[in-house]
Amino acid sequence: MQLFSFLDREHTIAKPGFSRWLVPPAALAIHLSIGQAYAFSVFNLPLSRLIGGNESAPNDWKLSTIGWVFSVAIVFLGLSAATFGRWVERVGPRKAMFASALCFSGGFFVAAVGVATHQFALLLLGYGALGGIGLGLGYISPVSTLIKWFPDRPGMATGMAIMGFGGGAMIASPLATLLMARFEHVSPHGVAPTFIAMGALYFAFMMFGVFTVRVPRDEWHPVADREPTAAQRRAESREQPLGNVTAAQAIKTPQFWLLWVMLCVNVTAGIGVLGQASPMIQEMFPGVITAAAAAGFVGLLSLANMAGRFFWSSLSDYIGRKATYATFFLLGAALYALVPSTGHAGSVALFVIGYVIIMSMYGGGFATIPAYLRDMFGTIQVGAIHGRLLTAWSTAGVLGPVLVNYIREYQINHGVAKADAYTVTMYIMAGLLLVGFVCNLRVKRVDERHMVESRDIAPPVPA
Amino acid sequence: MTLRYRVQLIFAWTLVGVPLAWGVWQVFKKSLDLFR
Repeated sequence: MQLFSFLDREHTIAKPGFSRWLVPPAALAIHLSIGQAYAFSVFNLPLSRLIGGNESAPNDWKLSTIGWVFSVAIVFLGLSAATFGRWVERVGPRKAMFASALCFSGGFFVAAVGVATHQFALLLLGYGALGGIGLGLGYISPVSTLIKWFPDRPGMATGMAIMGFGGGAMIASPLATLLMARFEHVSPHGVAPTFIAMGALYFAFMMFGVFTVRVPRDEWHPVADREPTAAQRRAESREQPLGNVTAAQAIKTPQFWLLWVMLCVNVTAGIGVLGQASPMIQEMFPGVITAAAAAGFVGLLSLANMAGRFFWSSLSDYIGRKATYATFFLLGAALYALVPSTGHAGSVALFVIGYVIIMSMYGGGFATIPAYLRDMFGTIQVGAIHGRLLTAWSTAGVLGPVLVNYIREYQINHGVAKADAYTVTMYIMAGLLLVGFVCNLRVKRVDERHMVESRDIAPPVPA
Repeated sequence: MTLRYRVQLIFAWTLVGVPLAWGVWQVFKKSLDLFR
């Protein structure tokens, strides 16, 4: 359609003079918006009291039922990223971001109707399914564009965007609380109007990303902002991809599945901490840590998660991706095994520092993986390959909490003290990270027989 | 870089930086409870 031709890839090619530093804020606009998903829990309690008011009525939705909305959204994130990855590569970032904005905001609007009419299916379909597709499209849409704009610093560039996903929840949680308070008199707990307002706000914010993003011309090469350091040059020569691999071919390589396991174990271990952070610190330090202080601890972990995304991915441009992941897995395993002992020794400071480092590496794992994929499979379909790899996240999102809760429950049922049950869980997480370490060691360069010529698969981009 | 892109650059980073800084500040304020 002529009306939407501005979304086409050929209309997004950067003109001479364009600054590549405009692309990270465009990507951030998308990731800061879709990162709202991690703050969905702020709606849990109000959604469970839509009929009852101050308390849940028998006809109100149960908290366990509402929990499905977030789970479905994360599953659809993984599925849509895996399914639409090649489409995203073909049509370019602008159209993909636009589709993401339509789905994500549309999901809010459908969910608002579901809340207003008290139909759970609409809430699930709107925020969970439609919104989840928006999450998946939005998550992968800027990745390959950023890697193409920053071939000299792919870790930092993608880390910046993925940091936005962590930061999005920090904006969304207080924003939703403010909006619900503002609309409290309009509808029960102000949830439905808040959904509409957030849908509209996020759509506008994402449009900024849509209109700002550009792809580089074919022959474009970066003019270095500064001379690369010796460490950066060494890392570049070591990590430079030998060629390009298609998404279909990538999943046939052992490298893809090794990276899949690495992401899966890193996320599973991180979720193990995040999900239990508040009760864990209170039970480890009874009488010392109050509920408010525990909430502060959770906030601190979120900050570490976000900062780690930028720090570790940027560092990977200097020390290399393999060394970065080796640090995550070795240092992570050591910390998981040792930090509970600091709890038993009564040192709150060491306990907090240990988990802050752990959470920074959890975020770092997410943010460094696109650059690792580029090193292995080249840039041509890196977004699509990243999309397929995100199924590891969906798997860990379901597996992680189940595993952690099951181990903990099993321990407590067999007479282990509550504080000690965490220790065993942490040892198992340390073991999982060692599995990741072995996988990382086994990652070698992709065999040349998997590679294709760029011109065979490159999307048609007029120069 | 042309003036147009310079202005656009400042605008873009402000637009994403301000809400992000606000969100980080909200969480940071809450996390201070840990040290009280």
